[in-house]
Amino acid sequence: MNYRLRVLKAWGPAVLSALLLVFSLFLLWAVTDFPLPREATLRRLEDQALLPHGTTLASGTVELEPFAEKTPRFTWTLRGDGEQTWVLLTEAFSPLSRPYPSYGYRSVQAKSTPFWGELLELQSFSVFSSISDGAPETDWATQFCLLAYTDDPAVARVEAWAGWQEEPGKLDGLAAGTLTPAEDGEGIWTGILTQNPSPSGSLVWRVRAYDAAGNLLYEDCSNPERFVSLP
Amino acid sequence: MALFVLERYCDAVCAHIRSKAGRRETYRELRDHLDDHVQALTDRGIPLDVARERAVAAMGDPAEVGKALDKLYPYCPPALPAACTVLTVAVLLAAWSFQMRDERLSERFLWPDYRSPSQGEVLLSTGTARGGGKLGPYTFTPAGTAELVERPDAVREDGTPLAQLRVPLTITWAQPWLDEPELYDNAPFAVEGDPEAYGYWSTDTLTPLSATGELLFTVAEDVQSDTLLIHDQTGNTLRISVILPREVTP
Repeated sequence: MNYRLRVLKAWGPAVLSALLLVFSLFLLWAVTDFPLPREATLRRLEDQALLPHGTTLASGTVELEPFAEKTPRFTWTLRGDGEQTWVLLTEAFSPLSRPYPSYGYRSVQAKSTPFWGELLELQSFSVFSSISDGAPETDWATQFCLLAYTDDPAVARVEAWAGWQEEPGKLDGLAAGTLTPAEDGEGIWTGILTQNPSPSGSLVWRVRAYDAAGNLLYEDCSNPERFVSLP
Repeated sequence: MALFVLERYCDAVCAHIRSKAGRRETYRELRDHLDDHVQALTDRGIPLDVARERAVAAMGDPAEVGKALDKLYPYCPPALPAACTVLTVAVLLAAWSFQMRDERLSERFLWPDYRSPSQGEVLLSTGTARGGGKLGPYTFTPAGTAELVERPDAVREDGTPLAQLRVPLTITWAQPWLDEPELYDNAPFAVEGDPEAYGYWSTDTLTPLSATGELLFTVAEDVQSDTLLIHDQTGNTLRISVILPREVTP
């Protein structure tokens, strides 16, 4: 028999099965949303947002309330190019990382300092409360993870509001609280607020920065028209 | 016993041939050769036992013969394709379970839904779109006919009637790990010379390496040509020129 035919007959099945293995590994990589080393994932997210490739300024990991087999756990990374800054969300796919699918296809926007805020993720979950006639009642609550960034050292405190707003201009009912400075990085404030119960309405958020004397320095919010006439 | 001299010799040679097909072929050919040699010797009057011994001796050391013949038959360990197949099945099962849990791969495909014909939509004019280019890793290419569609009751503050400009576009990229570009909330669209015009992107179909859809702009109804701008967040801008010379006869 021709030598080439012998080679084909001997190695053909092995080569074919190896090619199928390579294809299946690529399919696994695609199905898991192409996990890559962390820097490559961050650059991928920047490409998709038509952003320049920045450098990492700080990062942190957040975990929200688990519900319905979903536990939002992600890493936020603050990136910048010297002029603008933006925050990217990834999740670990050990030992690699991949994009984290946060609520409603949150888009990545580059923002300029001196101060900006962003709602990173939200998680709705059911809460039970018993009522007088004994039948448990189910309500919805929502956790909001917010981040604020400033390059002004005068900022001493950052307060935040977030939630589903039934009527424009109505602040009560929204989750409110103070953000805390991030451990890894200056000028970064993060926090988790919980709105319980969560009514139906428009999703809004607002962050405000104050100096040590309590003077309002900066403000950023999702929909300015929904916070008009509020203090 | 002398009866099995030939068989024992062939077995000793074939023991050094790793390929199963090679062993089969070699045994047959070697046996035929030895039989022919034995026949030739017995035809000359040599006793059968002696002829067999002489034929075997003439072939040489069976180990050396076997090793030389082994090189003629390519060998692949039989465990290799079996192992690859088992691994493939395991990887495919893992991929299936990840897809069932996360459904990430299906989010990279979008097929056009059936669209019922627009009711009462008046086509004002059609034209061509040219330009495009690259923004980051994405290539934007006009595809198809641009259309200007009437928008009844839509007017600007100064009373200018408005219309919707539709420009079909194809976006392609080479890296399979990229999703389609974020063209929704970033507001990267503008019309040159018309600061009041605003636009957005509507995806029609989506695959892992391309997206098709339309740029939809609200412009003045009497527009005949426009330059559409697509910005990225690095300061780069693409230009798409639209010319609408042909009015549609109702």
